[in-house]
Amino acid sequence: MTPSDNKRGLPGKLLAAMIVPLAATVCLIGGGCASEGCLENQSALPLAEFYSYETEAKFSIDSLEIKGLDSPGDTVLVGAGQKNVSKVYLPMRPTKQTVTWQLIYRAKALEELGLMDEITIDYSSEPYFASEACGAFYNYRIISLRHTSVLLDSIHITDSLITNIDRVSFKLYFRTGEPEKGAAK
Amino acid sequence: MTSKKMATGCLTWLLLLPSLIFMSFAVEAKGNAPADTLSLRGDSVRTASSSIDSIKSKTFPKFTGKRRAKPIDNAATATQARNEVKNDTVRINREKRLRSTHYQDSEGNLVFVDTVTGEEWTNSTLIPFVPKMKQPLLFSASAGVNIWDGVMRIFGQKYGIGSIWGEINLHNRYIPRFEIGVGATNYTPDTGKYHYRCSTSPYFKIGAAYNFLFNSNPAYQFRAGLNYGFSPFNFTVTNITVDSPYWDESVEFNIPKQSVTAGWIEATAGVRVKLFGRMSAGWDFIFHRVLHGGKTKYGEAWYIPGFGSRKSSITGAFSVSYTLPLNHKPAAAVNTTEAGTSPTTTSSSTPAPQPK
Repeated sequence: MTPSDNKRGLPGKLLAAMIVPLAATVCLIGGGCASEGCLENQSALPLAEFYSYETEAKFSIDSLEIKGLDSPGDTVLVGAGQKNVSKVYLPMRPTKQTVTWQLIYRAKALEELGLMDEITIDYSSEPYFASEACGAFYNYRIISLRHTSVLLDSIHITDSLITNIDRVSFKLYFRTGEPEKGAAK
Repeated sequence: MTSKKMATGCLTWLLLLPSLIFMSFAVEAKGNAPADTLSLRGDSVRTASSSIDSIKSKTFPKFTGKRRAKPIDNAATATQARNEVKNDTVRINREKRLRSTHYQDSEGNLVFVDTVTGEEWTNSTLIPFVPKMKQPLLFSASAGVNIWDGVMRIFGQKYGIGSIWGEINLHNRYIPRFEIGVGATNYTPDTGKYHYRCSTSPYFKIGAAYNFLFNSNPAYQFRAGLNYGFSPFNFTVTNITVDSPYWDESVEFNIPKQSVTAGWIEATAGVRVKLFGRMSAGWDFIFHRVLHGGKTKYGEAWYIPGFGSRKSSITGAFSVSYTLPLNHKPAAAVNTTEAGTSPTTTSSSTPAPQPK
């Protein structure tokens, strides 16, 4: 090639062999690396799911009010007007090592009785960096759990570490009805 | 008169006797002629058949043993058969036709033979292509700068600095390489809820590439490779803000400095093009995967120097490089004296990069 050929060929070489594939790669990788957002929760949230103690099946409740003890303005997490509540996120307090939730039964037959259960969870907080999109937050390690047993029979902890992964942490078993005494005989 | 008649009769017999003797010899000689052979043969057949009948009528003991021929081996009998048929062209041609019609020569080429004329030829369409090493073992050495991270930062990437690399080109085909670079990030997301920092940390890659165009013009390379990389680095996450809207609480905390070493493997594919002189440029498409490291009790490192975002599986490289020819064959001479005419080469060898 003559020097003039070389000068003329350089932009063509760059365009054909370098720039075009590079641009295609940048577009491809740019699309591939684009943040897809956080597919999980952006903080550690325990999910509580309701079950029937008698049947061990999933269970939904009407007229159940849930609120945290000492919540600001006595704010309710779940109002009594919500129908068919079968699961609820119970956010931890990042500034404390314990949290208490009140489950107030507002059904007509029970409201006059003022029935309520309380769940108290003691935990420790562990700093955790999940990803660029989900960020950093506290994971919570459950140390102990206490509750009253008015209509709440028992609580099953599926994993003592509460993370941002969207999964059930507590299974709350309610007494949904007395078994028929004559049925067994 | 009687005596006279007797004398005349004796004279007559004396004259006739030689004639009769001559005639009897003539008749005997005439009996050997072909005309009389048929009659003689008929007599012979009759005689032979009567002899066979007489033999058949006799009883002979049955011969059960094998007939044995005792060969006589000497120098004459050893070559006698060959000498007798050495000029037999029918036999010679038959033997030629029975010969193998092809064979493989020392270079692996399949050679076909005309069994009649003995002519040989090579059918190139049937020869399996066995590429040879056209270029010498130590073909060239290159050093380059990877400016991919710098380019990608223009497009919004939030990490990376750059690297330099060196490689040896063997036969213009096998290319072992080594890369050393540094990476860093100082990143705060749009939400402002944390600040991720990885201080400037080194990384190393070692691997090899294969040039598919090894017998073509060395100015162009299409290559694929495999590298292993690792990086010792540390990271901190500070100013982490956690809000709880329900409890109306907010807390801020830090993840202390974490020192880790991560390793990864990457497969590459790309091109390299000679720009001018000894300068080349090239890009690579990289598929990579973390093999080990980078995990702490506070979570996984988001950025790994030399790898990029831990979650990503693809990235790239863009390099500008300088190539030093080693042990090159003389480049083809180029005739550029006459303007307006196409250059002609005086050598058929593949043009090598011209040292300045």
